[in-house]
Amino acid sequence: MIELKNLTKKFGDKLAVDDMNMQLKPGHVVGLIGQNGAGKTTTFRMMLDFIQPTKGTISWDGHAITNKDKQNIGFLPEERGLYQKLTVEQQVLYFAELHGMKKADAKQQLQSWMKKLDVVGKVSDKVQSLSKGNAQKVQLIATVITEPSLLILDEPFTGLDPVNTQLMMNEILRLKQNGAHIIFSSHNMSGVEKLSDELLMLKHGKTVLSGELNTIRESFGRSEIYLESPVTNEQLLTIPGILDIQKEGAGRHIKLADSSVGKEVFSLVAKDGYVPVFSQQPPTLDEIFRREVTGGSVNE
Amino acid sequence: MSKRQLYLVARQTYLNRFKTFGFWSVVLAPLLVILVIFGITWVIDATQSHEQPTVAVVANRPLDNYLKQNKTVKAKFKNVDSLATAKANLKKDKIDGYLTSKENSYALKMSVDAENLSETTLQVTLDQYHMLSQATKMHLTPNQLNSLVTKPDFQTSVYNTSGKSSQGGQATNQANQLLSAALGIFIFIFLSAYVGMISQEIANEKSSRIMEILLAVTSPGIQFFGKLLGIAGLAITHGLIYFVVVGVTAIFFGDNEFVKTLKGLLTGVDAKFAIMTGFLTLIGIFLYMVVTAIVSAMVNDLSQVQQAVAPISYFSMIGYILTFVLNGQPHNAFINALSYVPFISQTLMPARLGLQYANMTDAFIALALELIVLIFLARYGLRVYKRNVLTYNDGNITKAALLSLKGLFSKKQ
Repeated sequence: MIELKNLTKKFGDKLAVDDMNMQLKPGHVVGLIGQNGAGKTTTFRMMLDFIQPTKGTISWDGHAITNKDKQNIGFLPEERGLYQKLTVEQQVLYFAELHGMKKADAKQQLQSWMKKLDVVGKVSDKVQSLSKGNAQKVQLIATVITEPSLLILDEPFTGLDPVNTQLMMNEILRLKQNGAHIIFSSHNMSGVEKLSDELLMLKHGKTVLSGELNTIRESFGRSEIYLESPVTNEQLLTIPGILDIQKEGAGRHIKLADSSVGKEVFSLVAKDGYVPVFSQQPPTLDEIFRREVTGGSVNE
Repeated sequence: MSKRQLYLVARQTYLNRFKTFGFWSVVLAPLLVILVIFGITWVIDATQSHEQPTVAVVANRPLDNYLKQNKTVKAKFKNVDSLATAKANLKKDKIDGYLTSKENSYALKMSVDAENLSETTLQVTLDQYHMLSQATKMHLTPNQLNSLVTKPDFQTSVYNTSGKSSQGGQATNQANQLLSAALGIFIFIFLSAYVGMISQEIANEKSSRIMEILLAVTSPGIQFFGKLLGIAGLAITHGLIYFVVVGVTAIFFGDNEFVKTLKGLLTGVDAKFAIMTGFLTLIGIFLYMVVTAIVSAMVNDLSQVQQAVAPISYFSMIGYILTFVLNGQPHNAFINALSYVPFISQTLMPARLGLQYANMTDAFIALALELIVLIFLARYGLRVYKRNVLTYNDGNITKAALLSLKGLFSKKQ
């Protein structure tokens, strides 16, 4: 298990990360969310030993992360980087060897990865000749070919098309099933919801939300309703506690002041004994994120 | 520090650069320069006209006979009776020039498009002829004449500070000057090339964010020393290539005239000088590489590399320029002192050594100083590198450099 205890980082007078506590268990995925400059990348940099924490500790199975441990880390930086003049094979083998993988094994694995991710091109092609999408796949291969025990992904979905996004998600889930510790940051809230077991939200370095995703969502109450019904907005607005009604797809999205208001809405829309769609849910992660970032509460 | 990772980084750096045009152009440039000089000399020699000019000797049959028998002057001589005949022949292109003589003077008039005639050789030959004529008039015996014209023996040698004498004289001095100037040029070129390589290597990885991936699995120390070792390996390979080329040339082309000329230029160079120069140069290059690695870690993108590395290149020119003013100034205290200073000594000390203004002890001191500074720089340079290699400033390299020095020597790093 990887544990971050009271982790604090100051740059001069600026507090980048303030007293963060987190546990990263094997086979678990933690999503780190927050606005730009919230402290996500700084947290990763401390975990990777790029910078030293001002206070607090980071441990892996009870001991500080050693150089040997680092060989079991797969890291995908926010700004992707590959040697443009190297071939795909030279590139991937170099990174794999640095991780302690045997060259022959990496060479063999690379072929199957190229097929698996459907990379257009040969292993002997120079990276500069690949399309952006294929270069991204090569970057992903270089990150995961060694089957890392700890995977740190900084904005992994940035710049990816939907196909590559799905490939990336599949790989994260596969490594999770294999017992890897995975932490990633993202502004793609649907991606975070799909992948994360646990969530940690930072605001100006402070942890504002932390815990299991469903628990966090439920803690905000089921204050949202998705409704498909012939009942008019005017009829709905007669119910006290309805804050807002917005059209959403074939139906409407209703915000409630309190989850108990849902019962009254249901009574109204089901008075004829039939309602096509009534779904009362906690706020989406996207909604929680926007509310937390703007400083308000979800329930406001 | 993982030795395996250190080896991998060094190997990667070495192989990446070994395959580049940049490396091979640096290696081959001096060889190409020599080959071009050799080629041009050969072409000129092969295409030059071997026809000899015809010179008329005006009304002086003894001189005409002497010149014909002497054969030193590469020309055909013929006697004519008068100046008018000579002029007429010259006008009709029957001769290329004519030589007139009076009591104590000789005059040569050549056509503008005549084949070249060595005036120096003609002058020497005429001197000898004049001397013989005068001796005959004075009724001197052949022995008396011989004794009169025999030159005294005159040898020059250099007594250097080690107390040993070596062959000297103008020829050796010229060879040494040439050697020191050539060394200065080549060392400067090599330095610039390796400074460029290490800066490109680090700045490329930093600006493309590959450095973050590399440092996630290794450490700054491994990256810093691995890259330096890789480029140092290239410098050593470079030296070995020259060693092999020189060896092969000496063994298989030793009798070639051009090679003989080169050998002649290097007569004053002994093995000690060559080895010491090699070490001073190599350690000098390492020193510049370490400084460049430190500075390159401060840049944000490749466009800043030139700006960051330019002061280093300018500094390396100091030693190079001083090798040109060194000649004839064996006791210049300023130049002598600078020849021990690391970053300058790699060009200046070999030049002083070549001109025999310094001895091996001086060179050893310069080498030791280079090594001490290299160790110091490697140790504290790594700290500066660590601080900067993943820091992206707002483009101000000077600010980054000054910030790097803050608390650099504190024990807690």
